[in-house]
Amino acid sequence: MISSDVIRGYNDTMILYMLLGGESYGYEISKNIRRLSEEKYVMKETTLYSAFTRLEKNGYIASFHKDGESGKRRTYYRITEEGLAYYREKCSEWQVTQEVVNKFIKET
Amino acid sequence: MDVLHAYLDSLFAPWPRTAQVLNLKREMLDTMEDKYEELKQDGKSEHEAIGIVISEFGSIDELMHELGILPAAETGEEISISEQQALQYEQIVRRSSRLQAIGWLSILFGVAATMVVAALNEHGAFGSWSGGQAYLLALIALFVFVVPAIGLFIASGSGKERYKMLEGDFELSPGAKSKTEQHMEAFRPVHSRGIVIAACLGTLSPVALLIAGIRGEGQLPYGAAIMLALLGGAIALFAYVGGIQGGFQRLLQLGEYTREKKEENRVINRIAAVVWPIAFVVFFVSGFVYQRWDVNWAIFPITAVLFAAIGGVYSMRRKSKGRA
Repeated sequence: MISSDVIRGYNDTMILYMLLGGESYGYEISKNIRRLSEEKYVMKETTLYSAFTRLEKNGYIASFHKDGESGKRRTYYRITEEGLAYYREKCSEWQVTQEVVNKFIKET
Repeated sequence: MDVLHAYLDSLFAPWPRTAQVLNLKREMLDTMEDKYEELKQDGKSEHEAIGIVISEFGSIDELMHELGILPAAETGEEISISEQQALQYEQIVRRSSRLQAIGWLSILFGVAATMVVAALNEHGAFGSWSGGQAYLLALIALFVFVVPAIGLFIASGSGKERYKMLEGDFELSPGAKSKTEQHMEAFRPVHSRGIVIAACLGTLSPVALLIAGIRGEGQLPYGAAIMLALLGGAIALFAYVGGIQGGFQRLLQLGEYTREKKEENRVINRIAAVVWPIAFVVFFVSGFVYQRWDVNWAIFPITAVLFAAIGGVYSMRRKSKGRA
């Protein structure tokens, strides 16, 4: 499992990515992140919800209530235009970050 | 399921029950329940499932910090004083103690000047002046000193109203506490020097009266005036160093400012607000109406002693009541 310190700056990006394919709710997002990371990264509950709050405050995501497939009423999130722009920004930032860090990484 | 509910309840207990927090708690419970159900479906035992859900919860402190939410205890009745507030209060106290010291000096000098003018008049120093003119001069002397003093006292109170909460119960932040303790320690030598000098001035002041008395009864008012001037210096010093020391004690809730003492002082201050103005009225009436400037100054030491006695009896009775 990856340490949460290393990945901290990209939690928001991961959540936004998960919403690119359409609206989703807390557990589904967290489950998909785990699945996509091949069980190497599990986002803690508190990390997930502080990210939701932060993203919504910045206008990158919007929340609404909806009854899920199981009939349970849930809070759903969807990505906004601003969120999409922010996501793209983070992607190019990661490209540069990766390039830079890679210069200092070698197989020993 | 109930285990998860109880777990979240205990985690959220110290935090304020605002709509935002309750909402967050409900959503987190939903997510945890979803996760739990799925783990069970994957063949995990109830015990294992709960273990996994709890281990993946994270840190509630971090979450609340991120959201900028303070624990309920810190936003409740117990007011917390930050380092900056404590320093600002200290500045205000220093300024107000200085103004009060000058105010006391001015009042005592004013009374002394009035006595000198009255005595000079008695001895015919103003020659052809009528008694009325001389008294007018005495009055002017009094007002020239006393009116600015009243202004100083009023000014000394400004800024303090923002720190009214210090009269009630409050908590000092750890940073504020250590800063205040340091400053109080640094002030200690100034404080003790001030008290010693003030005590010397106070004790020496009757000597002026004594010398005047020896030189003849006519000299008594001059002696009394010098005594009052010396007392003015003593009171001003007491007010200055005592005021600053009191500010530190109030912040650190020491000495006169422990929680029990605060209540006691509130009562004694109410008595003082009545007693001292009465003393001044008696002083001026006996002086201007009955012209007993030679003896009426005695009202101040008498009031001081009586007042100390009343305060002493009150706190003794309170203490015995507290024990009973």
